[in-house]
Amino acid sequence: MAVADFVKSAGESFRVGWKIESNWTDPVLFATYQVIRPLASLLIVAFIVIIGASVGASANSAFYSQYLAWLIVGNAFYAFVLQIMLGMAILVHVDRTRYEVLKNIYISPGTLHPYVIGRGLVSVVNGAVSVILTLLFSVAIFNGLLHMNIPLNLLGVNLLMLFPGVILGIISLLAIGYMLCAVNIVSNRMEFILGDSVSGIFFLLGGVIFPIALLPSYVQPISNVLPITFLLNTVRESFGLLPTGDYMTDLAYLALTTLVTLIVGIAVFRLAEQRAKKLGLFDRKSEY
Amino acid sequence: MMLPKATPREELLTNLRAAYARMWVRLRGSNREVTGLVAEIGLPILTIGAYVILYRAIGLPPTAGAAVIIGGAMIAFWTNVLWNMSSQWFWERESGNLEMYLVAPVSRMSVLLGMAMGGSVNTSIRALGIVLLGIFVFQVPFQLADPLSVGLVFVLTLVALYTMGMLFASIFMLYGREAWNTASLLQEPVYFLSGAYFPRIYAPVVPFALQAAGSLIPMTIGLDAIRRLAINGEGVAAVWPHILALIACTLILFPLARRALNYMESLGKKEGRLTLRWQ
Amino acid sequence: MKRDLSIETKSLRRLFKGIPGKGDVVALDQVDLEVHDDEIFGLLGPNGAGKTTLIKILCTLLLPTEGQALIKGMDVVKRASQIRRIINLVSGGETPGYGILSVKENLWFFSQLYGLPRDFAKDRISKLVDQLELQDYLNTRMSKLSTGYKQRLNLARGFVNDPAVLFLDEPTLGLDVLSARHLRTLVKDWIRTGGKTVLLTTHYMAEADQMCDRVGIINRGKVLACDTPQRLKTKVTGGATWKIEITPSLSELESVKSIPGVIGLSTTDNIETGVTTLKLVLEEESIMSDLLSKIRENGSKVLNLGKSEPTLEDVYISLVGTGME
Repeated sequence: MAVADFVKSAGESFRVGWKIESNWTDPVLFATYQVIRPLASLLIVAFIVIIGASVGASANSAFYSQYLAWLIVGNAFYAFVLQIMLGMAILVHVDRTRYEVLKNIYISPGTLHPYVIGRGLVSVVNGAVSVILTLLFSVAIFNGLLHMNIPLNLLGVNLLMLFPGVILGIISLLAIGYMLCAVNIVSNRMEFILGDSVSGIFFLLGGVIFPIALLPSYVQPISNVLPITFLLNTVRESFGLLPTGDYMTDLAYLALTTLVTLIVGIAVFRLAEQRAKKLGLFDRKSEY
Repeated sequence: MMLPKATPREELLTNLRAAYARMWVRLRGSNREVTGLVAEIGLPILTIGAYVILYRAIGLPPTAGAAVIIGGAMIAFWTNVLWNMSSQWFWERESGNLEMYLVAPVSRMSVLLGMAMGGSVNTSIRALGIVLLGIFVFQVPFQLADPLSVGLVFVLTLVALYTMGMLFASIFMLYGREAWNTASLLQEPVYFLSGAYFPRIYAPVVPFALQAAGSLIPMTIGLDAIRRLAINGEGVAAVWPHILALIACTLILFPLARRALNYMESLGKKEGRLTLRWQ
Repeated sequence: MKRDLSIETKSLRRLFKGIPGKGDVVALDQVDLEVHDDEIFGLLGPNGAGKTTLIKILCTLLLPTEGQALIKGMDVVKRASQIRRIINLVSGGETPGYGILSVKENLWFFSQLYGLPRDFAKDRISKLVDQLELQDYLNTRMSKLSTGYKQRLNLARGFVNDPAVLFLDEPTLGLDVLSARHLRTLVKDWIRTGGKTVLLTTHYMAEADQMCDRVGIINRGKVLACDTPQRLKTKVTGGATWKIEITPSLSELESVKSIPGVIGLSTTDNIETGVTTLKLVLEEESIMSDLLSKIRENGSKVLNLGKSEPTLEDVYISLVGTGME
C-alpha cells in the first residue's frame, strides 16, 4: 500500500473516530469529560501528599512542594496512557459488536492498519487535551487558589527535551494499543478488562505517582522495561523536576523499548489477524 | 370481555419472582466467567497498591493503607452502581430486553430491585476478595471492636447506595450516550469527593465545600463509619449520625427513584423513545 | 355466532416529532380495527407504514396521540398492567435475553417476569422446548446459538406466559424456509387451542395468505382494506390481474404507471435472461391496448402476456401501488 493511501485512510479513520468520540454529544459535556476526570484523579493523589505534609511538616516545605510538582506532571501525562489504552482496548469491540463495521473495514483493501492507527490518534489528541488542561488547572488550583508555590513553571519547559520523549512515548503506547486490539480480535468480552489491566499496571509500576525505587525490589525490573517509565522520566527532566536524571540515557531506553513494543505490536497484530481469518472472528459479536 | 384484576397478593408474588429472577441472572451471569471475577478483584489491587505505596512514601502510618483498602473495596460498589445499575436500562435497550421488561406485568422497580440485590451480593464477594487480598499483600492493620456494627453500617450503606443507583437508572432510562458519559463522569470525581483513597478523618486540609458535597453520596458516609469501626476501633456510639444519615438517604431516594421511573417511562411512551436504539 | 373482540382500535392516531420545520410525522391516522378471538390477523404494509407503531401501542410500549386501543376490552393506556398479563410480543430479527445464559435459563428468567410458579414454569418450558425442537440446545448459551435457533428461543419466550394475545412482528425475518414453515405450523397449532389471538406483521405475502384468517393492508398510517385474503383478492383486484413478460426492461416505468386505469404495477427483472415480468392490476381490460403501445414506445418487446390468478400480492400492489419493498 502506498504511503499516501495509508495516510489518507488513517486520516479518514481519524475523522470518523473524532466524530464518534467528540461530536455526538454535547461539547460542554465532552470538555467536562476531558477535564474533570483526569483532574479528579490528580486531586486524589495531590491531597494524599498534602495530607502527608500536614501530618509531617509544613504544607509548603520544599520536599512536599517538589514532590507535588513531580506527581502532577506524572499524573497529567498518564492521561496519554489512559486515553490510548482504554480507547484502543474497546475499539474492536465497538466496531465489531456495536457498529458491525469491522468486517467491512477488513474486506476493503489495506484499510485495517491505517484504520486502527487513525482511531488511536484520536485517543492521542484526547490525551493531549487532557494533559494540557490538567497542567493548567493544577497550576491554577495549587499555586493560584491554594498559594502552595509548587515549582511548576509551564513556560519554562524545555520543549526540545519534551517533544522527542513524548513522541516516542506515544508511538510505544500506540504499539501497545495495537496489541490490545489484536487480543480483542481473537478474544471475547475482554475489552474492558484489558484496557484497565494495562493502564493499572502502568499506574502501579510506571513511576506515575511515586518513584519506582519505592517498589519492592523484585518488581523493579519490570518497571525498567516499561516505556512509560522512561516517557515520564524524560517528561519530568524537560520540566526540570528530575535533577539527578540523565535525559539522554532515558531517551535512549525509551527509543529502545519503543522499538521493541513496535515490533512486538505489529507481530502480535498480524498473528491475531491470521487467526481471526482462520476462525472467522471478524464478525463475531460479544453478547453479554 | 374484561379480565379480573390481579389480587394484591398475586401482584406482590409476581414482582417478587421477577426481582428474584433478575437477581439470579446477575449472579449467574457475572460469576460464570472466572476471568471477570479475577479481574474485578485483581484490578482494584493495582490502584490500591499504588496508593498504599504512596502513603508509605510520605510517612503516614499503616492504618492509612487500611483506609485505602476499605476505600478500594467500596469503590467496587460505586462502580457497580454506575455501570450495572445507572446505565443498565441503556444496555437492556441495546440488547432488546427493555421491551420485554416493559410488556411484562411487573413493576420496573422490582426489576431494578433484582439488579440491585444481585449487584450487591456479587460485588460483596469481590469487595471481600479485595479486602482479603489487600490485607495479605500489604499487611495493613485492622482493629475490629464491634463486627456487628460494621455489618449493620455496611448493609445500610449498600441499601442507600443501590437506592441511589435505582434513582440514576430511572433518570437515565431514556438516554444513551449521555448515560454512559455521566457514569464516566461520576467515577474519579466521586472517588475524590468520597475520600475513598484518603482517610478524610486525617484530612482537615480538604475544603469544607468539598467535604459537604462528598457527604451527599451515601458511600462517603458509609466509608467514614466503617473506617471508624474497623480501623480506629471505635464503637457504634461513634457512628450513630452516620446510621441515621444512611437511613434518611434511603428514605428520601427510594420514593424519588420510583417517581423518576414512572415519569421517565410515561415520557418515553409519549415521545416514542423507550425502545429507540443507537442514541 | 359473533366472537368476542380481542383487539379493537377506534380512530387511533399517532404522531411523531419530525425534522424541525417539517412538522409532525403521521404514523397512524384514524385506524379502526377489530380482531376477534381465535383469529390470526395479518397486517401488511411497506416499511414505515405504521405496522410496528400499531403493535407498540397495543403492547403498551407507546401511547396513542388520539383515539383508543383496547385489548380484551381494556384500554391500553388505563389498564396497561392488566393487559401485560395476557399479551406477549415476538419481534423478528431481535434476540432478547442474556447471551451468557443458556436457553433453559433464559426461558426460566422470562417465565418469572410473568410470575409463573417454579414447577409450573418448569413444565411449560419443557413443553415449549419440545415443540420448538430446542432439546439439544437446552444448556447451550444463547450467544452460541445460530440465528434460527435464537429465533426459536425468542418464540418460546413469546409463548412462555401462554398469552391470550400474541403479537408477532415479522417473526420469520431471516429464517430459512424450513424454520419459517415450522414456526408457522406452530402458531397455527397454538391458535387452535382456543381463546387465542395473533396479530402478525409480515413482508411475506405467501405467509400472510397461508396463515391469516383476515388481513389488513396499511399504508402511510391508514388501513386501506381489511378482509379475508380470499375476499380481498376478489374484491380488490376484480379479477383483472395480468402478467406481461417483456425485454428489455422499461426505460420509463412511470409512463406506464401513469396510464389511466392502471391500479397497480410491480416489476421483476431476471438478470440472466434479460426478461422483465410486469404484474399489473387493471381497472378494465380495455386499457390493455394503451398499455401495449406504451411498452412499445419504451422500446420493449412483449414476449408473453396472460391473465393470472390474483394473489395477495396483487391486492397489495393494487392498494399500495408497488411491490413489497
